[in-house]
Amino acid sequence: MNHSMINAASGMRAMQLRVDTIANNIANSDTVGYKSQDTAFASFLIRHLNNQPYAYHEPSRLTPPGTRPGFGAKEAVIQTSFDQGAIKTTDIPTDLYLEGEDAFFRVQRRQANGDQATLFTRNGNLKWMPINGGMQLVTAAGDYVMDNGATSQPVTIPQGATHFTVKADGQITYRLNGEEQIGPRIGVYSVQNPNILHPVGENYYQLPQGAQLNEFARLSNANGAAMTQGIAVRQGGLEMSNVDLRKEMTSLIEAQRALQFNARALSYNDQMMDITNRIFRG
Amino acid sequence: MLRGIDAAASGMIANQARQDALTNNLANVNTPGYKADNSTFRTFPELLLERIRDTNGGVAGLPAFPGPNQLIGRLSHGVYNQELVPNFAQGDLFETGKVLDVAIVDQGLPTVDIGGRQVQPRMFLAVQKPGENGEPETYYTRSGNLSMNEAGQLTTIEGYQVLDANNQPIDLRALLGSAPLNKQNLQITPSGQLIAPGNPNAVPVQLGLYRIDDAAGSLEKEADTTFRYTGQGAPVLYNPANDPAVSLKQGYIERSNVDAGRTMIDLMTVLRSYESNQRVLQAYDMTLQKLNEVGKI
Repeated sequence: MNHSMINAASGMRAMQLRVDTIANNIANSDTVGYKSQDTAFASFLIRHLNNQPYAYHEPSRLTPPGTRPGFGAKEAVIQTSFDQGAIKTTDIPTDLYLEGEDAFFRVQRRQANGDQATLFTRNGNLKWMPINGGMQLVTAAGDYVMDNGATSQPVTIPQGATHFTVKADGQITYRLNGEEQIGPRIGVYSVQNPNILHPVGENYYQLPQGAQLNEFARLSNANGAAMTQGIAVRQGGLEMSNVDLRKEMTSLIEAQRALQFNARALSYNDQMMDITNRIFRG
Repeated sequence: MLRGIDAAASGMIANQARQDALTNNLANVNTPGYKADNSTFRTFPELLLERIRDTNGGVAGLPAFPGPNQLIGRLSHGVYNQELVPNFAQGDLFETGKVLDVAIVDQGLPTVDIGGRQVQPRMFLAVQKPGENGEPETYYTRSGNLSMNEAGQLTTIEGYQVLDANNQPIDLRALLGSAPLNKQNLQITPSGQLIAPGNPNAVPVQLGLYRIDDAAGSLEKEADTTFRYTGQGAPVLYNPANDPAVSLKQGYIERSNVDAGRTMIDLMTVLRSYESNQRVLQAYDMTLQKLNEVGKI
């Protein structure tokens, strides 16, 4: 039937999604470790109509025979920008800032079915949780932060340890009974292609199903090796959200106007249908 | 019957088709690389009316007009939406800062003479996507927000592989080595070469850029902001020496070239034209009504 109605509706839906994404960014403009998102669009299906197959009937044509009207727009993908956020100094020893856009902490989370899911995060607002006589480093959501071992283990230090410090390469040191001790090293992973990470909420990212871990996320500080160039752990600071409010507000205005344009087009179509209805006046 | 009824109805149908094109443009006002469609109307083939029964004899029982056939004149039966001409003008460039966003700037290309018209040639990126029978086919696009897929290949955001100058998919992982994907490690030069400054073993890859002289006349719009080439011969592979006016900008995308303001005005015009045609239909309806009244007993 009336494709212009469908086109306008698809345009409205696409713009609405953009407004939603921007609203989410603005809401998270102060969330530690948040990465801004953007919606990308593509044109939707195209119909091929053979309205006049013979070129000699239409000598002035500019295009190949037939017409190719479209069906509006669709949202193709939501992209996450992994640009580095600014550092906020907190002087809390368990607040860790990751330098380098491609660096992530590895986190293990127990799922409802008992399996351990491997997640990645840049949110360094961590804390110690006493478990089994030791203290384990957990994220704000309570999931274990993993060390740099080949078989990754949760980062653990003995109960009663004080003066906890983290070096730039992720090495933990602490003081136990007045003596300096060397603890585990926090595993820092470098993800070559952040396009494949998909957000799973709470600033966590996951690799695609069935993906080999070491193919996509490389350990940057293996045992005995120095940290990869450009990546460092900074203690006592947090990474702020990388949302650029000026950019978001500009996009918001633009998306809202585009939404209005499409809504207006829908109302024009409605008027056209009304006109069609009034052809016959009885 | 009254011929004008069909003409008025065809006017309404043609305006509806134009409305379809306009709303489609408006829906794609934020689609990168989208090219606006302009609908053009054409009258139905004209008829040449002649007065017949002028031959000797004529129709039995009716008076005969002597003399040869008399030309009355031309008659047109209405209008239809002949074609949708994509406007291939350059869209605005928008800075995104993303490493795999690339915009093609080709406004400086000298025009080419196509059948007496001066046409501006356009550059396109070649992408591979499944065609109608499922086999991979080459399509062309201006949508430059690219991505890297799980296999490490350069793709469009829809996941279609972007081709290099040898028609092969581009393996970014081979280029990057173990380095992360960012603007320091992967650069797109203005001439469309992908280089990895941090990796000494990297072999630069030339993007598959093609020049199409008569873009409107040889490209058919397809889904996902791509075009299919249907013209004579093959598109010309970009050669920096021959086309110095072309440059690629990394970190930018080319936005849709739809002018929202103009589209709104066109929508208003279409609405009123549609309404006028409806009034004509109503006028014919009244004429027919009067005719019916003549026959009333």
